[in-house]
Amino acid sequence: MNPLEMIVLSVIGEAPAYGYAITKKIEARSENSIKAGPSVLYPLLKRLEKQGYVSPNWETVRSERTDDDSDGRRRKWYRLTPKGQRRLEQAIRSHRAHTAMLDEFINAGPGAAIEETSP
Amino acid sequence: MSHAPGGTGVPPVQDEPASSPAEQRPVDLAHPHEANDAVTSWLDGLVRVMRLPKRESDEIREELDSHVRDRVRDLMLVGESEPRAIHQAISELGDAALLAQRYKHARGISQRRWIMTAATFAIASSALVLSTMTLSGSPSPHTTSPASHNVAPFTAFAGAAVQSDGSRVAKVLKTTVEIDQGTTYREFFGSARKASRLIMDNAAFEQIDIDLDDAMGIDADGVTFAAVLEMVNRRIPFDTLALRATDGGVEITSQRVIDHVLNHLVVYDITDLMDNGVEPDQLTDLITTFVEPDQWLQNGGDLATYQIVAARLFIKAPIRFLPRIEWIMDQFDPESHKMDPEHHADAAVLGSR
Repeated sequence: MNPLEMIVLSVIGEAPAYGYAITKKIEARSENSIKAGPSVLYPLLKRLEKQGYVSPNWETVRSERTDDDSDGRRRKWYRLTPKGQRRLEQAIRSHRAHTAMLDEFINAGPGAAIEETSP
Repeated sequence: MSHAPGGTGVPPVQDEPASSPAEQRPVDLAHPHEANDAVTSWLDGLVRVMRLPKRESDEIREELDSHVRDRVRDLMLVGESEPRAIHQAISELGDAALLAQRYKHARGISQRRWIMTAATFAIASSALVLSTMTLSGSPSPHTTSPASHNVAPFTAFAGAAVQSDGSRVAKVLKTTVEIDQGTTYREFFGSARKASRLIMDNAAFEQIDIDLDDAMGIDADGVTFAAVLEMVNRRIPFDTLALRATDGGVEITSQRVIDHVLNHLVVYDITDLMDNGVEPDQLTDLITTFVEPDQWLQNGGDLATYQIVAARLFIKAPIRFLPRIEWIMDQFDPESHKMDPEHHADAAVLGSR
């Protein structure tokens, strides 16, 4: 599972979300260091949907503002499926094992010193 | 914003190029209607190049339309004018043709069809191909047997430690199986044990979301293991299961894993092809367009790559790509790049580097 896939599934796993909200959450949480632009995000969501990891649900947008033309517009919300949950858990376990293995090497070498001097 | 949501009320389709509408048709910032039209135009272009069923393309259109509206609203909240906000939102969607390609890839249409073709090819020919390969992990070069293809690369450097015996794979594929709706994947794959010792790559099964203890839901009586495997592979959107002979048995894993293991560096002498007027770029374009296009480094993939140096075409790719690459070269001159014993000395140099 690639990192963006893991990030997107994690975001959707917290709470159901629609595409634009997912983009904003990723940007906010990564302090803008990760950009999940629409040209990458939406095809990824389509794939996750096809794989059965997320399930979509269309909801009509309701705005409290009378001058807003949101009324009638729909948003596609995504929620993590049990299958997606299992896949995400598997990916997280694999990621942690991989990170732990790298740490073994890094911390045995110059990594420890770098950690001490880093801000 | 006034552009039509949900794929309704869109202007008639025009015969203009669909890629990069945002770039081809700059938004007139002085005229907001022009800007709104740009969104519709961009989405029209996307729908045209996607060529998906109407319901699906309507949904994609509606989702992207909604995204653009949200984005425009946010940009306007931080002070952008509506036309500028729309222009930026469209720009962020990028190239319509590229996005359409990503959607198609995500749906698994072209890739799935191609993988199925490749999988069928792999299953049908695996016995032949694997039985003709004798590879080892030593850093010395190896040649492929000319009997394995009509033509063969004149050198091949094996980068993987694999001893292959295609006859074992063939035995497994020909094994007759009897399964019913309740037979699990584990029981089905286990049935191949009567033909060979098996190595099951459980991680590969997890990667492609097959739970070995799930019932397959397939009735089959007296058909071959290969026929049922083909049915199983039809259910897997982004990969396929495949077999390869390994030390003492047969490994069942994903095609992708096998492609990484049986990934070879080969070199073809294309001097005669070039003498016949074939431009090297044309040749590599043909190869990367018609042989597993998604997998080439040059197309954004990670399984295969090529370089041309001094009339030598170096290709590093899964072994199963090679017959199709050679078929393409055969169309220009079947004899031109056949194995040339005189170049074996060069092969030794290649292998030792």
